[in-house]
Amino acid sequence: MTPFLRRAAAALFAVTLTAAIVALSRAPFKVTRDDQALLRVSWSGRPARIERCRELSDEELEKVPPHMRQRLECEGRSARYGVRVLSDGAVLSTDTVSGGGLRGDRSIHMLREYPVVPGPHTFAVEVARTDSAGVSEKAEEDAGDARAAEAPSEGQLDRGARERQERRRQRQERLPPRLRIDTTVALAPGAVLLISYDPIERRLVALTGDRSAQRGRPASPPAR
Amino acid sequence: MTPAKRPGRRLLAAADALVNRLYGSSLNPLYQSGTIVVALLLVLLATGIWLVFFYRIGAPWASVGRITADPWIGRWMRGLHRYASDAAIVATLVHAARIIVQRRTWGPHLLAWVSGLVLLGLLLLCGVTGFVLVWDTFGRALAVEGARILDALPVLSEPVSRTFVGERPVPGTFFFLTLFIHIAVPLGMGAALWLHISRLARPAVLPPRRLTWTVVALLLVAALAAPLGMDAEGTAFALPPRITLDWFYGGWLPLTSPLPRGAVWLAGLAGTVLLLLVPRWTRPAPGARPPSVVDEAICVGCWQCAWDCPYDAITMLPRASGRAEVVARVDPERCVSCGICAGSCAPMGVGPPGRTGRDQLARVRDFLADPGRRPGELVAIACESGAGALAPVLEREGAVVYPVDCAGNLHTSVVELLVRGGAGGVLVLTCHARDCRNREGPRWLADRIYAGREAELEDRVDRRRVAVVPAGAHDDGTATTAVRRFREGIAALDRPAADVSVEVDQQCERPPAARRGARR
Repeated sequence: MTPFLRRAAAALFAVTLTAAIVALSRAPFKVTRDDQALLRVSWSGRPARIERCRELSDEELEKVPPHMRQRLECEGRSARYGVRVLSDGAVLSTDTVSGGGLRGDRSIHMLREYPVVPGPHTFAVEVARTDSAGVSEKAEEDAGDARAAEAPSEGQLDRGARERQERRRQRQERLPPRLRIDTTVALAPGAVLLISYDPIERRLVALTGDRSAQRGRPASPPAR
Repeated sequence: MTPAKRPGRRLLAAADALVNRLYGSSLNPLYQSGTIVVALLLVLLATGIWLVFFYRIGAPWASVGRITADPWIGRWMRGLHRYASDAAIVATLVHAARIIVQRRTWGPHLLAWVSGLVLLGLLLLCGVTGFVLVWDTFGRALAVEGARILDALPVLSEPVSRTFVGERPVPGTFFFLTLFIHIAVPLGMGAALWLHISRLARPAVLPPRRLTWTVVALLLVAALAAPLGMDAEGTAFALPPRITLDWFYGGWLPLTSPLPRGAVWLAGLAGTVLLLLVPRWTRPAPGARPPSVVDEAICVGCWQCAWDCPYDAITMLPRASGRAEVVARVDPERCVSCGICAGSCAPMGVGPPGRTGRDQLARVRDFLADPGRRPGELVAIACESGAGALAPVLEREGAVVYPVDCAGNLHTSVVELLVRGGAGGVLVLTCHARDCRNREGPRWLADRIYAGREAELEDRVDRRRVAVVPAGAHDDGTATTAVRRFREGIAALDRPAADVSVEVDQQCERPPAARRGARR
C-alpha cells in the first residue's frame, strides 16, 4: 500500500467511524404505533381511617408525659378502595388499592395506563371505599362538630378542641367514600387523557394537554 | 492454548494489525482507548462548563433550544458535547474489551477492573442525566422509564413516575436535581479514575497529542457537518410517534420498556454480577503465575527492579547486614507476575519463580545444547502473547523461533548467550509499545539493548547481530520483512564461533549509589 493510499484509507476509516457514532447518536426510533392513544389514570389521596376513638379522662392524661398528651385516642387502620376503569362500558381493569407504607397509613398512589384506539370514547373511573367507616368515627365526627361549634374562638380552644379541629382537617383531606367520573372525549392518535384526583375540589378530573389542564384545573367540566 | 491463540486475542490482534497498518502503532486508537476516554472527559468538561452558563432550570427545553439556535458557538458546542460523550462510551467499551481479552482483570488488577466498572456506570449516569436535562421527547422517555424502574424499589413513599404524569408541570427541583447529578458525577469520576490508575507506576493518562487533537477535530467536524436539532418538548399529554434515540445512552430503552420492572432489575443485577465475575473467569490457574520473589543473597540493592516495575510492586527496604544498604522486597498483593523485574536485574536475583534470569539462562543453554542447532541460525525471540503466533511465518523464513512469556522479561544475558553460542543473529519480536500486556516491556528491553539501561546488553555483543522489532500476532508482513532484512544484514558478517560454555557477566557494573535516580 502506498503512503497516499494508506493515508486515504486511514482518513476514510476515521470518517466512517465518526459517521457511525453520529448515526447511532441520533437514530430515529419508533416508540408509538400510529393507531394508539392512551388513557392514564393517576391519582393520589389519603385513605379514610377506620378507627375507634375515645376521649381520655383528665386522670388518664396526667399519666402521660406532657408532650405526648392527646385527648382523643384512636386505634384502627386505613380503608381500602376499589377502582374500576371502564371504556365504552367495558371494564378495562378492577383493582383494590390501599395506603402505602408498612402500616398502610400513607397516601394511596395509583398510576395505570391503558392503550386505547384513537377516536371517541366514553371513559368512566370509579373509586369506592370497600371498607365501611366505623360507627364510632361517625359519632366522633358529629360530637366533634358540635364541640367545635361551641368553642369560643380559635385562640382559646383547649387541647381537645384543637385535636378535634385537626382531625376534622385531616378527614377533609382524606378520600371521599365514593368518586366517579364519566367523560366522553375524542382522542387523536398519540393523545393522552389523564384522569386524576383534585384534592381541593375532592373529585376526579379529566385532563388533556392544554395549558389550563397543566396548571391543575380541569380541562373539561368534571363529572361526578 | 497459548495466549495468542485464544479466539478473542486473535480477533483483537487482527483488529490491532489492521489499525496499525493505517495509523502506525504509536497512534493506534485501539491501544489508546483508555487514555482517549480521559481526553474526551476533558472535552466534555470544557464544553459542559460553557453550556451550563446558558442552561435554565426553569425552562430546560427552551434554553437548550436557544443554545442550539445559535450557529456561532452554541450549536457546535452542544454537538461536540454530545458526540464526545458518545465517543467516550465507544472508547470505554473498547478499553474494557481489551482488558478482558488480555486477561488483565484478576488479582492486583481487580481494583482497576472494579473502579473501571464504576467509572462506566458513572459515565452512563452522567450521560443519561444530560439527555434528561434537554427535556425533549427522548429526555422525557429516559426520565419516565428510569422512574418506572426506580419505582420497583420499595423505599420510596410516592412513586417517582407520578412526577411525569401531567397532573402538574414537572417541578424545577427535578431539573435542579438532575443538573446537580450531571455536574457532581464527574467529580466522583475523578476519584474513581484516581483509584483506577492508582496501582500503576507511570500511568499514561492522556493519548499522544496528535491523536488527541485528531479525535477532537473529527468530533468537531461531525458537530459542524451533522448539527444537532431539537426534538419536540417532552409532554405528558402526547405519545411521540418516534424519538431521536441516542443508542449509546438510551440503547436500554427499547430493551427495558416491554419488561416488567422486576425483570429489569434482575437483568441489571445479573449483568453487574457477570461483569464483577469476569476476573474470576480470566484469572490464571492457581499457582500458574506466582508473584516475583527476591533472592536476598543475590540482590545488590541497585533499585533497578523497583524503578522498572510497572505496578510499583517492589520497594527497597533497609538491609540489616550484607553487601548493600537496601534490599528489594516484592509486595505479592501488587505483583501481577509480569516478570519485568527478571529482565531488569543484572545479577538475576529477582523474578517470578521459573522465569528469573537464571531460569532463562538455563533454558537457553538447553536450547543451544539441542543437537539440531546449526551455527549461524537466525533466532527469533517471540513474545507468546504476540508474535509467538507468527511462528509458522518465521519458520518459513528460516528463523528458529524461541518463544518467551514476554519480551520485556528477557534478560539481556539470554541474547548474549545466543549470539556467543553461535546464532547468526537474534531478532527479538516484541509486542507494540502500547500493547504490551506488561505495560512497559518493549520500552525497557530496547533501553537495555540500545541505551545502556541497567541489566544492559554487554558492549562485547555485536549489536549488528541483534535487532528488536515490534510485531503483533497478525503482523505477518512486518515479521517477514524484519527477518529478511535482518538476515541480509547479518549475511555479510563473519560467522561467529560457537562458544556455549561462555560465562556471561551477571553483575551490576557501577555501584548503586552512583546510579540512584539517574535511570528512571
